[in-house]
Parts: sequence; C-alpha cells; structure tokens
Amino acid sequence: MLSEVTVPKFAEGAVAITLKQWLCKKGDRVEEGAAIAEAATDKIAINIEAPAAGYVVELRAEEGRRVKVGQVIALLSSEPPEEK
Amino acid sequence: MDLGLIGYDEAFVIQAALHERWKRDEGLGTILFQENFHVVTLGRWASADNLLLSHEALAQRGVTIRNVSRGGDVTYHGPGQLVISPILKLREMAMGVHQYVRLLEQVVINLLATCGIIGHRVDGATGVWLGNKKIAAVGIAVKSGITQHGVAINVCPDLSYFEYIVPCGLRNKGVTSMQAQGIGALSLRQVRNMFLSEFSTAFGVEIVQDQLFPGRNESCCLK
Repeated sequence: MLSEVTVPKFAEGAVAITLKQWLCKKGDRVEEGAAIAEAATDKIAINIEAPAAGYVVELRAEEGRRVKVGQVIALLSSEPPEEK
Repeated sequence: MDLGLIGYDEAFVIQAALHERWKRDEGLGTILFQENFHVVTLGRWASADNLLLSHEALAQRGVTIRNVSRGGDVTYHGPGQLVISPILKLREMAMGVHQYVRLLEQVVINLLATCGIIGHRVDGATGVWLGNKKIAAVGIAVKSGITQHGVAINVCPDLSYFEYIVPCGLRNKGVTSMQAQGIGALSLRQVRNMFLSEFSTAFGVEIVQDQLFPGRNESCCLK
C-alpha cells in the first residue's frame, strides 16, 4: 500500500515554505511520526513527519525548493523495495 | 513554568522534555519562561556572517554560542530579557503556524500597550517593533504539531551585547527594550504575569495550575 507525505496543514498561512533538507533517502524504512524532512519560513522551522510506517519510494521535492501546504512531497510503501 | 535565570543548554533539555510530555499528555500544553546567561543563538539556517565577533572574542566577553533548532537567524539572549516558549498543540488548537506567530506578536503588542508602549509589526519581518528598533524577537519550531521556542522580550537587558551580532540578519535595524522606553521599574516576574494574562485572552485558553507540580505558583498549563 502506498501512502502520500504532504506538507502539513498546520503550516497553512506560512508564506514561502522552503523544503530545506531531507532526513531520509529513497529505500529508507521510516516509522510513523518520524521526521522525514525539514521545512522552514524565515522564522519557523517545521518538521514534516511520516503519516505511516513504510519504505521511502519516491522523494518528489528538491531541497531548497518552495513547497505548498497539502503538496505531496514523498511516497511511502508498506512493502519493502525489491532486491536487485 | 518559570525557570528563572538558567543556562541555555539546561533550559533546552527541560523544553525538550516538556515537548515529549505534551505528545503524550492531554491538555493544550504549557508556557516556559526563562532568563538566560549571555548566549548568542544561531537558528537552523543562520548565516555565520551575522556574528560580528569571533567565537574567541565572544567567549572573552562571557558569551557562549549555540546552534539551535528554531527558525530564524542569529540572536542574543541574556539577563534582563524574558524568553517565553509556549509548548502548544497547534493541531488541537486548529491553528496554522502563521496565525500562531501573528497571535504571539499580538500578545506582546497588547502587553506593551498596557505599559503605554505602542509596538507594531513590520512587513516582511517578524517580531514586535518600535519604529525600526525591535523590542521582541520571534523564532519558533514545530515538531509533531507542537511548538517550541517562541518570543524573547527585551525587558531590561544590556543592549550593548546586541552590537556583537546582526540581530536576525537584519542590517540597518536596531534593538530597544522596555527599560529604554522608560518602563524601568518592572521585574521579569511582573512581565511574565502580564504575558500570561494577555496570552490567555488572545488565545482563548485557561491558565491552570499544573497538576504535575502542585503548589508551585510558577507552574501552569493550558486548557
């Protein structure tokens, strides 16, 4: 099952939210509630957390780029990635 | 909870523990008050160019330097400045971070108004200002939907310490204090009580005795 990681609604109203840093990479296992990215406005640092446990399938935003509330920035899968 | 005069590191350990507590406990959170020994803090993405003295020169003046988890650039904390950190469940308050910061500034504006000081906001810069001088600085972090850090009000600090940095990375702006505005007779404790009263009104929350610390007047939580 796939789950989407979005910029949280509590960041609403904050102008110019920038995705500062990923705290995970593709293939990583993350737990529910774990911080997977840091975002910020000029005075506010925000952790973006995993909505469910899973494996990082895709990171959809680049560090240093602006993001919006509700924007999907990553995909998690409940299934481990296939061994190659 | 009022920590009184305390080192930044020790106070941050307490702040982090309170943050963990409110992830578990019911209630809206708590407000932490502290006064720090001389310390310059660098926000998460601060520019080292905004330190105007070397680490050694600052150390010689008794100022420590810390990298901290809040947003914002460089700032100074020290005796005579009241640092206020609401540990607040924004999700339960159904409040966005921007709204939270604006309301926090409003609390300070209202507090100053009761002393006859007319503070205001400046477009594009957070905090509370008198003209182009900042009297209260804001920098926060949100983790698990709960706030950390907060606002620092210059009650009666030695403002010369701000000359060692470019506060918040803003050149051509100054700093001021309640004392410099002629309000010299207030203690930090009095300003704390005024803040609690204005915070309760602005945020629509009740300040109640913290059951974890019964009997301590300095210990409160939010309902």
